[in-house]
Amino acid sequence: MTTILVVDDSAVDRQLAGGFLANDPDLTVRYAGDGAEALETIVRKAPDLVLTDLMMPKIDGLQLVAEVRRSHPLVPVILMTSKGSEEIAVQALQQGAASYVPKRMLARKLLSTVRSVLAVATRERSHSRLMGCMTQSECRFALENDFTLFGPLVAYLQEEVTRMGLCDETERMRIGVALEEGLTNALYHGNLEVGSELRGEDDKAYFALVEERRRQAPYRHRRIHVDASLSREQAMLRIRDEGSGFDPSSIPDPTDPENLEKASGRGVLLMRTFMDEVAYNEMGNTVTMTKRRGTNNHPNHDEES
Amino acid sequence: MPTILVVDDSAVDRRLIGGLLQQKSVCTVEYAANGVEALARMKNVLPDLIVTDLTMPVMDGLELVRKMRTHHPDVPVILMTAHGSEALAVEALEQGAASYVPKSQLADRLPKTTEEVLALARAARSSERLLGCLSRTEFSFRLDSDAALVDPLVDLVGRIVAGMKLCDFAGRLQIGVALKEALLNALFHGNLEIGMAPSAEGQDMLIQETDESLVERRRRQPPYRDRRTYVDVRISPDEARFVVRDEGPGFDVAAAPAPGDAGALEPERGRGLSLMRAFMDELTFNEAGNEVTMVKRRESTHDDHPSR
Repeated sequence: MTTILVVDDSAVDRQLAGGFLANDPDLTVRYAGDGAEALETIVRKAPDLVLTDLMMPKIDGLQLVAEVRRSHPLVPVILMTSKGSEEIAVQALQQGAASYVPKRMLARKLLSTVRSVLAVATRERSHSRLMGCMTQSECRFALENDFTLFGPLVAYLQEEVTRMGLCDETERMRIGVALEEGLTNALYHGNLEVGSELRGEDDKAYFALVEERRRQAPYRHRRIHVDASLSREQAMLRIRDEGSGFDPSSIPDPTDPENLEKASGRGVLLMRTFMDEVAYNEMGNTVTMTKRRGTNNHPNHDEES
Repeated sequence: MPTILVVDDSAVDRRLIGGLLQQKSVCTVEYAANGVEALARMKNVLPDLIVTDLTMPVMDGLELVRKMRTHHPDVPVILMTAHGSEALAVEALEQGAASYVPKSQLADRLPKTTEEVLALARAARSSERLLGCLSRTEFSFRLDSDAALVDPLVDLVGRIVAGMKLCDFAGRLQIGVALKEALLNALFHGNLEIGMAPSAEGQDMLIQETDESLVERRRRQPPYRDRRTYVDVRISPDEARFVVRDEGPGFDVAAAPAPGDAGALEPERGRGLSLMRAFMDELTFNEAGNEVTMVKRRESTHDDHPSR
């Protein structure tokens, strides 16, 4: 059974819209008199779809759209517009409303609009349920020396880690930071072999050198290899560059407050803090970060190095 | 440097808008007086973004948005709305416009909106490029016997196969059909042990109408309800490999019609099998008949005709 929540401050309009919906025996209709009442109803039990008027006292349609999107992103909202509310309707559509029906066309268009939006929403929900059935995933990327790919790659990997239920929102962000640091290291220190000494001293010279090396052999042929291997228990993320590596034991002790200020150890410090385990290979061109399920991102002081 | 095409029938407005855009950011601005002119310009080179008026003679903004959606879906369109054109704007946004700015607030909001939309378009393109850098992927699912999970899985595989450019559109469709057959087969015949339906369409019907009660009953009944379908997918630029295993009693593989048999295209399990065999390069069952392995290899001709 599919439940539609009709939100309108006018009792006549509520009944009118509800009446059209009741023509479909598969739909159950519930009602709310304004946005605030609607939100209470939604919190108790989320409907499959919200159909709302725009201009209402207390919480109006626009705010309702924003709130539903935040708390129930898989529940679509359809707007009922009337003459004079077009401007706010445009805003609500941009905020994330799924569609709209002008009030004077309810009889003709309401049911078909509701059905088509429900079909899309069902597909979305099935997709997210499918993702919940994923038990294991592995992927491998080979990136050119182009930092504009880091954003999409980090977002992709964060999504994978979240999907496996390995992190909450805070951890998700911190995992993103750790990955970004690892990739940045691989690109600048690894493949392009640009030392961090220049950084902070002369940024202009630093970036000029970066640009030069991106076009120069052997640097420009080097790739960044990223391997991710995830299960419901842990995520293992490995970043390898094709540079000459470094001596991992030379990293300043990140637990020493003295070193917090140093540019060179900062990335490593962040990775160690945000992941359960961070290990380098002997050559120093591969870093492997592990995040385990249910471990609350406590700082890891990594005894072995 | 991004190129922005400004479409407006008023020459004064065009200049005003062009000035605003170049004041705040580095970009090339081109102009067209209506939708027809805009489309003609795009025959040669595509802009990164279109900023268009809504009410114009010849071809209005709404029609332009529609045409862009069909012919150049990658180019975002920002609308400029005037008092009285809000209803038209709502429709244009529904048709696919990316954003809008009221003409009365151009100076305040146009540069910022333009930047936001350009950034979003760039991000979308990077995601596409990222998928192009994917050199191998592998994932596993454990599914309960719910047909609603089949299409999303087929979609997901299709997107990855497309991103890795393993094969063209027709090839992706074939992979999709074969995978769907294999999954429905595992769910219904394998785990729920429901008799043969003639085809995937037949199975869809079976799910929706005729035998819904039987499907629903078995989904709640042991031993059927505890059975799961295990799916392993492995995709590299050379091949896509799928292993679908159910926990049913399996079937006699030897009794299935061979590919050339007269009965091969007939109903029963034969049709699904024929499709899977025809569309995949390799198809093998384990001895128990409850696990199928399918492989689709990269099409060799594909190097000559890369799909876009």
